[in-house]
Amino acid sequence: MPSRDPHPTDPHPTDPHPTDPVISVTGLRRQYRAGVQAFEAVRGVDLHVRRGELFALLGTNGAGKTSLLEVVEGLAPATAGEVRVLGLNPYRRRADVRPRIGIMLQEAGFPADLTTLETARMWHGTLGEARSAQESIAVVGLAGREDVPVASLSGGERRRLDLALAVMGRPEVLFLDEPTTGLDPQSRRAAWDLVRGLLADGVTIVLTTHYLEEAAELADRIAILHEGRVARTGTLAEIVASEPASIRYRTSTAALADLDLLSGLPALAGWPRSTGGAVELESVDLQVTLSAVLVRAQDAGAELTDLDASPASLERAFLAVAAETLP
Amino acid sequence: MTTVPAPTARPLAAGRPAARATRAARVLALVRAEMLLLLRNRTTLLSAVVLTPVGSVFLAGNILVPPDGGAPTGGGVATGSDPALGSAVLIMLLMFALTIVVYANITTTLVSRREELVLKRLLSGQPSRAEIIVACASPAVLVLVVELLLGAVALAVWFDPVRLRDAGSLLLGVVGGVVLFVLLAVASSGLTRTVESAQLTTMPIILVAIMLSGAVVPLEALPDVVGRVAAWTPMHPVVALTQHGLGVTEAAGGWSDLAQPLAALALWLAIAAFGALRWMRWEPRR
Repeated sequence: MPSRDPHPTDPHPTDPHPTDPVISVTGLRRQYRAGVQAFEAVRGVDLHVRRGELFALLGTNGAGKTSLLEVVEGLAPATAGEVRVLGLNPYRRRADVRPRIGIMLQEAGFPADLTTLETARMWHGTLGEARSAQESIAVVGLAGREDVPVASLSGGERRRLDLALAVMGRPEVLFLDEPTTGLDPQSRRAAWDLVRGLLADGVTIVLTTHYLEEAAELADRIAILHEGRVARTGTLAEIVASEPASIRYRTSTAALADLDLLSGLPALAGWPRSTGGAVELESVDLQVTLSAVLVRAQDAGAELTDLDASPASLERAFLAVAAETLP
Repeated sequence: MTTVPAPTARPLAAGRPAARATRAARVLALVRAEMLLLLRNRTTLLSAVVLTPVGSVFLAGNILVPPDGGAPTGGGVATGSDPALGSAVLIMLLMFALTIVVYANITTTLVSRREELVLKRLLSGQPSRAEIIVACASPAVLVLVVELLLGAVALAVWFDPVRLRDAGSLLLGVVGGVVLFVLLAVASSGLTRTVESAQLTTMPIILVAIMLSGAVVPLEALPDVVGRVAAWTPMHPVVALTQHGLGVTEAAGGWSDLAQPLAALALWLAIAAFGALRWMRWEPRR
């Protein structure tokens, strides 16, 4: 199994043009229906995905992830803006783009009366250069289930069959829309290993997921969508750094409970709060603020109970974005 | 997923177009799968292979040779001679196959594939929309062709061989009919929410097509206005062209006699193509 650091210093050592965007999205808008029923699911998105990286799209339900992805995949036209995949418009140049990409949809079906192998063979017949049906099934761990009708596969097995078809054509660019939804933890880890292997081979991957740890584990760069727009984008470290760390404790000592006095602490982000008898501080530099709190507690001889100090996380960034109301 | 072998993805060199399967190869792969599905669907298979020929022979027999032994009454058949009877049965078979095997089955198939999200998944691959439609339609069309060929052979054995007066007219009738009813099925599938409701949504076209085709009841036997309207229903041009091709009708004229059926066929092809483009849906309405 090829191993891969998800955040390498130089993720593309053999790529002479590591920053070439394989996917370029500019001012993308997608609207459903017209007139009074019009709904704009994607409202001016700019994205650039580099060759060989895994780009994760996160967002709350209805944030526009799948609507955006469908346009980038060439399944739907953009209402406005421009999309280029491998330098081509994926909707108008479908016949040229599709053989070079693989797609795993968020929801998809297969004829229930076909077996796993028959389904894979059917798909294989529509491709040019491709892995064999047997190999593709084995790659996703469905070996031994070849003769089972699709109707008898579990939800997780169907997702794996879907993944097998997506990678069958040896794509340069792979779109995975919530690929591990419905998989058990073991299968999810195995799917991650498969994704890492594809990345090691230079495949560019766009992933949407509701599992934040999946994005943190695999993604080179992340975009958080909210209400049809990109609210945050960058590496995991950059996105996490955009959110303050938190310090929480309980105390009866005034010097550490008085919010006015606490407001003088260094590197605070915002005004101190008191919730349910606990003091809550947000800091742009956890080490600096926490040190100051501990020094002050030492000087005052105060006891801090339930002390909890945690750096910002992707989850905090995500929740912060979800709480925002965009204009 | 207990064991996952090491991935062996071998991406193609950047910028180099990937090898693409030919259009024929893509369609063939999908047709093969559709044939398997047809063979595994006993209800569909029964209606296609048994119901259609039995129904057409029964109907033709009753219409053309009444139980009381009287003169033949319908189908535009000029005489009760065996070749004419054989041709009439063949036309009846074509009519049933177009409505039941092609139109109703393809409508149901497309609705089923759409609701199961199969169409959406196929569209995310390399096959084009047209290729997917052709593949979904192919098994039904193949059954129709086989039924017609077997029917012609069987009729030649039981009656006299079917007379062929104008192969071009016959071919145009059959091919035009197939294309028309496939397009009508595509359009109807977009107006049908579930597989169950397909029986209701296809019924009007099936009834109108059969009853006003001119094969069951001659248009001349209908009230004048009804007859003139019936001449513009979708099955009539198909029946008229095949009757002409098989020499069933007494019309001695050439293609000039077929101006009206040809115009009706062209009109219906245009309407069906418009409907297919306008109403066909590739994923469920949510």
